[in-house]
Amino acid sequence: MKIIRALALLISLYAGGALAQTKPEQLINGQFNDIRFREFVRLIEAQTDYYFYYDADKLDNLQLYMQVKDQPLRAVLAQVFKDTEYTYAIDAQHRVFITKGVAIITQLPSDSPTQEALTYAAPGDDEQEKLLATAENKLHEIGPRRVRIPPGNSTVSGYVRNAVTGEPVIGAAVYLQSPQIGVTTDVFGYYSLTIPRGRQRLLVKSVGMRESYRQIMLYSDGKLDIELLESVTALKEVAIKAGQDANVAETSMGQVKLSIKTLKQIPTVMGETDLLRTVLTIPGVKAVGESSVGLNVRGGSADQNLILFNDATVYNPSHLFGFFTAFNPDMLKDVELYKSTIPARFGGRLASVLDINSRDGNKKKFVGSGGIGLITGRLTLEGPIIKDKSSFLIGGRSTYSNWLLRSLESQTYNKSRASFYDVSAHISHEVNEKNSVYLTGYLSNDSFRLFGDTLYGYQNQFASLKWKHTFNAKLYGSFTASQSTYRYAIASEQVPLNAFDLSFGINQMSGKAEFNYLLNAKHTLDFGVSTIHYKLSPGTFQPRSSESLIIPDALEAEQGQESAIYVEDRFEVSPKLLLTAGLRVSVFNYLGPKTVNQYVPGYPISKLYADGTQTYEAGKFIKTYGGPEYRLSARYLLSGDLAVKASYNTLRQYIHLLSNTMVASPTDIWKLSDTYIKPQLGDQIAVGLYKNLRGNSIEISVEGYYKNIKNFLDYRGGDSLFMNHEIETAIIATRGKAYGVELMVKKMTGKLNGWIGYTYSRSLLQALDRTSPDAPNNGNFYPSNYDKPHDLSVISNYRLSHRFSLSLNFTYSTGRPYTPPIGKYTIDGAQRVYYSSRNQYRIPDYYRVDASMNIEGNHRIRKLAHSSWTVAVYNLLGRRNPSSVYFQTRGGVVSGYQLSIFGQPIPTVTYNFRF
Amino acid sequence: MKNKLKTLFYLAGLAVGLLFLKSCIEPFAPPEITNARQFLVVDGSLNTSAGASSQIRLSRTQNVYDEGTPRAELRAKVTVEGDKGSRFTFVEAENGIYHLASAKYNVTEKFRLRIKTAGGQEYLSTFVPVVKTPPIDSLTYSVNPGKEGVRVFVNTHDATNKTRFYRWSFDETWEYYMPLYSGFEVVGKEIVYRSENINTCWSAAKASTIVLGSTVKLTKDIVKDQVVTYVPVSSGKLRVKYSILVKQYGLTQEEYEYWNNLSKTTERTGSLFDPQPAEITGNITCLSDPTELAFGFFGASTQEEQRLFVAERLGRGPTCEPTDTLSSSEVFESIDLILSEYIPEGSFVPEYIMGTTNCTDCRLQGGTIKRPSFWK
Repeated sequence: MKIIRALALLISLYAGGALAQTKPEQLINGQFNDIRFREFVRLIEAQTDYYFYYDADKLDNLQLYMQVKDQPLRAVLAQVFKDTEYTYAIDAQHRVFITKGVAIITQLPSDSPTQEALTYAAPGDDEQEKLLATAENKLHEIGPRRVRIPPGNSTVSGYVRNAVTGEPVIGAAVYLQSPQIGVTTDVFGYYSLTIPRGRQRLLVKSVGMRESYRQIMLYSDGKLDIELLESVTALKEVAIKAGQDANVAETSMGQVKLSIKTLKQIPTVMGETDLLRTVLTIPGVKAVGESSVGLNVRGGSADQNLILFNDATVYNPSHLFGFFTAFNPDMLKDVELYKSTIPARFGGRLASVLDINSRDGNKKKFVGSGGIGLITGRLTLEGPIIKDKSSFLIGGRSTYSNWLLRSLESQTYNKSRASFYDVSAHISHEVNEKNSVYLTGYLSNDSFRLFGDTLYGYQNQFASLKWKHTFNAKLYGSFTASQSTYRYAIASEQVPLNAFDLSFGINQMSGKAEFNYLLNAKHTLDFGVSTIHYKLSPGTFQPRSSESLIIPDALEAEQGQESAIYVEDRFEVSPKLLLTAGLRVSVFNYLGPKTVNQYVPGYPISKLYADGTQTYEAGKFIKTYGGPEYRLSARYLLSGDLAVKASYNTLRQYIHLLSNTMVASPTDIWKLSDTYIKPQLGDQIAVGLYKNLRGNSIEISVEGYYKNIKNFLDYRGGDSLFMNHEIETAIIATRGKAYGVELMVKKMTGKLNGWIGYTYSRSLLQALDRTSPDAPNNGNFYPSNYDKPHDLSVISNYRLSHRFSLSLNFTYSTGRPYTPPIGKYTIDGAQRVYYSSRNQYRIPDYYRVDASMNIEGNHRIRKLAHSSWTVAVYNLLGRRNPSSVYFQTRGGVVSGYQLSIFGQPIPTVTYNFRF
Repeated sequence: MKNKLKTLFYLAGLAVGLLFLKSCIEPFAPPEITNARQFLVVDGSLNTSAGASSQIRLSRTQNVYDEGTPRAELRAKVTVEGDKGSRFTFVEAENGIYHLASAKYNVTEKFRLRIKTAGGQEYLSTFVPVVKTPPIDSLTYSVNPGKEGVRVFVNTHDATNKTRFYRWSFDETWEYYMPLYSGFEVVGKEIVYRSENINTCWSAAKASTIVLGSTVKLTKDIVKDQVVTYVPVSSGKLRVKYSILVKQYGLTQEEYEYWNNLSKTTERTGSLFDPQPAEITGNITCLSDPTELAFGFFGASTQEEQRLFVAERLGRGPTCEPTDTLSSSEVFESIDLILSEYIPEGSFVPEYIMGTTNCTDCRLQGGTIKRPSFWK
């Protein structure tokens, strides 16, 4: 630094008053559409007397797109080189020097020793911004102007939006550098910041957006909306660093946010972006089997995840038993997974919250996107309804596998069916500055039949309506009503005498009011109330034809109401210490009409001791459960890029998925807590260390957790859950414990990006009544179905050029536990098969390699349609990973089989387009 | 062009096919299944009824792929010990079957079973009380309205309200006959009158289901019309006369729950609605090696039994026609049996009316021609 200054001094001394002789500035005009830098130079040189000196080879791949009207060259060049490593200098003779890094100093210092050394400061980032964006140049006055500003704080609030699409920018940091005060925008892109009055500089950063700032003169509380430009990667090649310190800066632990951009980099089975499969690569998240529906987060069962799509609960997030995620990737904006700190606004599930958000449609113009693959096709359309005010987004996806299967000549193939579709729509409308309304609807349908035997079908359907209202600069609220329905049906007609229809349904109506109150710069309060009404139809079993001898059977419907009230405070104690403390009180009422089975007092709850029933009228409270839930988390910054976080959470769950088959399948039954089935209680303590390296481009985190679960449901040996009228007798209440360590190294920028996640975890269960003869493993702890101690995921993506990128994934996990039949014997004249103690053995380990290549079309921004090709191979090594192991008796002999769903490499090609 | 499209469809379809259907199923036989240890199985109980003997059968478990018969546990030392010092020793009567002659038991004592195998392992059951089984009050039956079968019921009661838990097992015997009667047989080179009647047989079967009942829900210990079994007409058991010997055992609650759980372990697995596999062993543990399992529940009780006859003559047997009429020389060549002698008019040489063995010899259907001693 010293040397440069000395040199600058020397040069300035030598040049003397060269400044005075500067030629007048010439203004530039022109439309530069997708031209190379060389061409740009030629045009400028033709227009003016500027002459450029530059390295043509290095600058050759810099493409330009801009429109210039009466601007000085400095302004034009600032725009050209914005966010590149190049800089420029213009001397008095209108010679332009393009250099990398440091600008050439074109003047010599004045020879007068009394004069201060004059250095030519290259226009820094700030200067460029100033030149680029008038919004940034302008001094925004907030509140009525006064001559004398009283000291103290005022609140500035508003929306941060994408300047092109009008979509809100979520999680953007809006802050002052000094004093260090900042907030992040909420899910509506809304922020509210209380800062000292007077002239301030508000900085705005967000992932994927250009950094910006606003100069404000704050007189009193007021509103300021900020529009951000997306960083267009085609124009520049720099890493986007904004907002990347969330890893270290936030209190939230075990929270992973994946944007659609990240999702799109992961190669998947069908060459289609798959949300759940990507979530599965996050440490601490596992699936029981390759084709299973459920996620197991930190040793929790599949039903312990609250999956929300725009605030509506999703009961089955996948198509075809988990082959595909049930969400059209083009509809999605991002997905957030909470696995340790669960904000108080969420509740009702023990293990995690998966919060999926759809995009808002484009408010400026009509656009579409889609993809055509070998098996599925999808199309999404969006556009304004009222320009800049409201927009729609509608997407559909379907498979044509049915049609393909039918076209095959083979008997076994063309009798099979595999079809699904999903349609989703989202409308957002900004009524006025203070009110906006969002409406989301979703419908999916699945049906498939293997070898013409059993027909499976299921439907998800949900809708949500949200009204967001800003009461004042400090308080805003959102009011949501939603409805979700999930149904499944199984039909079998192979043997006419046994042909049956089995169906199940769940319906949920919910409403909630949520408020966010900015108490002051240090405290932000979240509070609200919510209620959910459940109605379950636990099963009907009907003969499918008149020939069938099946006796019709139906289980009685059940109802429940789950209500909660919560408050949470985010308290910034000091810049280093941030605390979040929340309390949620939830209450569950099991409601009539219902006939409740009674059991002989003093004996186990068993069919053996069933003793009549008691009938309750409609609306009657049969059983009430409830209690407080605590949500605490803290972050302490050890240094700027090193933080330690700790959290403690308690949760309650009143709805359970009953499943005693080896893998979660859509045939599992949802069940409410009732007289006999108590709510599941969970608490988790987690500690983590987070470090960002190389200017936040590499994130390293280590998290450890220990979890207790009470009243987790496992199943009594020998009992079936199928159409069981005394389901409580088939259940054993267990206590679970789960613990683990999760390591993650993540690099999301640069040519090579991706992450490596490793988890060591255990998930163990033990019967609450350890002396019961039904207690598995003699009342000792035994592994849960999804206890897979070692789990490693490597996700890597290498950008060969702007148009080609390669991805390679590797997944390894320990085999799932299972209970094999280990022998047979004869007692009392009949043969019995006996099984090992529950889950004492494991199926073979799982590993898989996937590869994919993305080929983008050219990067002209303005053209008819943008397209890309994805070529992917799932299970590149063709390993036959057993997804399920089962046993069948054939001719009196038990035989074991393993089923591998994707037993060979599966290549796919997908064409994606955007217009 | 059309062909090309067709090929493309075919390939795409095949991809789908591969994905959803060619999911490969391979045999799965890991060592924990194929090399499973062979554990001791104890089948039997102490019968404390006056004058009754007790039997315990010891065998070993097999791995699930094994199609042979279970290996009997030979030369074991089987004893029953009372908690007040009494001791009874079983004697190995046949391979793996151990007998204890009738003895006088102190019914206030609790008993346990001790087994020392020839291999040196020692097993011990928990102490079990002697349950005094009340006598069977009556056995009844009813023919169901469509005449499709017969239901057999048991009635019992315990005036002291102590028994509460019951198990029933039963032996069935039924008489049947063949459509054709064979009056002659070939002995050496001669045709003689048949010495035994092979037209009428008695077949027997043991219960393969576990029948349990309890009166805990009732204020009085009365079992009324507990179904023991249902005999469908289609089984053929009811054509002539059917008899059932019902044995009643009083149980402790533990033993009752053990049998109940055992009744749920079936051989069936792999279907869509399978129950969770159960791990049921019983009340016998290995002292010398805790990882060595033992299967079976040792109980002690008096035993009650009663027999019921059902002669409703339900169902029809097959009808058969004689196959041929043969000369005596032809009879020797035939595989059929001789039904009767027939002397054509004006001839002195008898001819013989023949019938197939399947229509004639009842022993081929699994029965015995020896009339059971209890038959009446």
